[in-house]
Amino acid sequence: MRALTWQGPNKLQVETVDDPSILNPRDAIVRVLLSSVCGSDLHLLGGYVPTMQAGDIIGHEFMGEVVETGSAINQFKKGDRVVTVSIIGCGHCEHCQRSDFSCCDNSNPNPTATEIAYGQPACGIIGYSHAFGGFAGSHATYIRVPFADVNLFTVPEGVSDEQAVFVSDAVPTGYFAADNADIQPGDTVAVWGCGGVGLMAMTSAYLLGAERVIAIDRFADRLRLAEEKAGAIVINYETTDVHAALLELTGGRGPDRCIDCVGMEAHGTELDYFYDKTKQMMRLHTERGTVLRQSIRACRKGGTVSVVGVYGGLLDKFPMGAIVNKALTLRSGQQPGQRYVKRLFEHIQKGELDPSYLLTHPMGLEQSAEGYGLFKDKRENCLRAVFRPE
Amino acid sequence: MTERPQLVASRAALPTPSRPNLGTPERAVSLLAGTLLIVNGLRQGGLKGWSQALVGACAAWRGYSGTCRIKSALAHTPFEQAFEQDRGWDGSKVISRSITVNKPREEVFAFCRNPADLGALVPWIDAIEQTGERTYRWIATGPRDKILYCELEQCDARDGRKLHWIAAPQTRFKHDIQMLFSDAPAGRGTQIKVIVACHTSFGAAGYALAAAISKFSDKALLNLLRSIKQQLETGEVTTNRMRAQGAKDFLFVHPAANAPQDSTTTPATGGIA
Repeated sequence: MRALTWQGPNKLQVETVDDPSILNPRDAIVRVLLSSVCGSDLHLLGGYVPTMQAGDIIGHEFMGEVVETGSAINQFKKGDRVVTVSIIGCGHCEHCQRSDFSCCDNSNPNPTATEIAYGQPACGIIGYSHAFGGFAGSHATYIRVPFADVNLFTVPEGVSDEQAVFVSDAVPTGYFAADNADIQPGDTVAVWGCGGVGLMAMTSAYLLGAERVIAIDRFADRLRLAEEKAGAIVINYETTDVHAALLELTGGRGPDRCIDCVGMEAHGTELDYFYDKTKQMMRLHTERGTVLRQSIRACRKGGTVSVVGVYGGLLDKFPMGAIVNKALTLRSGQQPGQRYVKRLFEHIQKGELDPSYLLTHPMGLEQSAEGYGLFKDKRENCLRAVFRPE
Repeated sequence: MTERPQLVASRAALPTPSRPNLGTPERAVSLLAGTLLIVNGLRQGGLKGWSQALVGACAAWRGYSGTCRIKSALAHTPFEQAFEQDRGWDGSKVISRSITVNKPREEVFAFCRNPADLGALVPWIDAIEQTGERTYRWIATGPRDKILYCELEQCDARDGRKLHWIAAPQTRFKHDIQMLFSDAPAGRGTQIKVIVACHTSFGAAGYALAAAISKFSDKALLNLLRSIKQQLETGEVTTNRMRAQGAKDFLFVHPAANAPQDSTTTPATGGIA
């Protein structure tokens, strides 16, 4: 089969690789119909996530049709249209049984790296480095999905492929961010980052009862989408003092809930950004914490900061004093999408949520390296390049 | 009241000047040798002389402070000392790992008491033969295709609570492996604690070698426990392979066939701990 492989920092190549096969009773093989780029892939692409190896197939946000199932899978049959949650859960460990699928104990066959880094091993993630399991990714003709009975979901009638593909990652990540923020009626929610996840977090915040959403980014096209598609008040951080604007918009209180949808490669205009960038280039720390600092500083006393932007390692100048002295709640995690998929499909069917506008650049798999170039450089207003393997 | 767990992996206490780990004669020798090296090094000069002086300074500081990290690293942990006293061994290296399996204790115990279940989860074990009512031979392929084996005897099992294996009497390096089962709090399944002890010979050098090997054994033990957890909780062991090539073909022989010994067979000299 054909697949997009990582060959080194900022080097991608489409090549012919072995087809996957059923290895365990709970596996399924899915023929990929649509597979999307994701902002978190840029961390892999840039070499910021260690444990990538040349030849690794990337991609984790996809939908397709079932072509084969293991002996223990009886709820799916060949030809079923399905979406897969990119964060793998086993369904049976203590965490999965609490619906904390992203804390799964059993889905990562390479637990050592994350155990050393984090104290306990992280879950497996499709196509997201050997530290997170070393699973082959979805930018390929076929993919093996482990624990298919837990991680595969049938796409219902009335939901298009272009909507379903984002229920794999962008939509549940945004929804999880809003859910984690513990939004109360009347709340003002500030969301940093107007990429796919950020836009979904904004819509989700309204679905969960927010009165107002404020979006922060620097790209005019994305801010326009936040305004038009997600109904947000927008702030361009290159032209506006974000902290002052947030206080101004909330009567001096600060946003009740702050959501970081940016992560370790945050940009900024203040001194701390250049400090972070320098240390990151010198490999003295792994994260650029501009957004995290800004959101913690802006959040109202007693508020919640919800983090779904990807952070991988160590961050300098973390404002712990603000968290303690403003009694903030900091919540985070990889998305446990299995918890939300059915609810999200219902929102889509009712017309309350339509993620299909994220798909700005449909392409063939052979053009996928070029698609990542567009996405990374934000050329041609690229929000998401989505590949259709031939 | 719950039983207080044994902390097997705890280190011996680190020495400080107020709590030295060197005796007076050791300190005197270190101080004297250090002083001589400093004087000789300074007299010689050059890179060699300065290096000598540096080593001398370290030795002199060791004598003055009465603390030595190397000696501390080679000190047996309190658990190892207690273990040696109990078994009458002159030296031991002990490792321990715990894991919680989200299954009832009876089910976990029944799985673990069957060597065939465990052997199938250890990638470097080719086969397990039952050689007697309670004795098993674990067979692995070593370097240069040498067949290595380790004879283990099951003893002192407490139903549902403890499994215990010891190396057969003829084995060169003695092992003692205990697997303890307890209920996790609030119905969270079963806690498995494994304690693996290896008898060490040749004093500090033997202990240092066992300690180095135990770094790998510790990892192997953790991997085994994770595989047990995965198998019991999910019915399979997670893999990231694309295809099945190179899959292990594990064999469990029950009861043991009285097959003639292969001429290339040699007793395992490394062991598990």
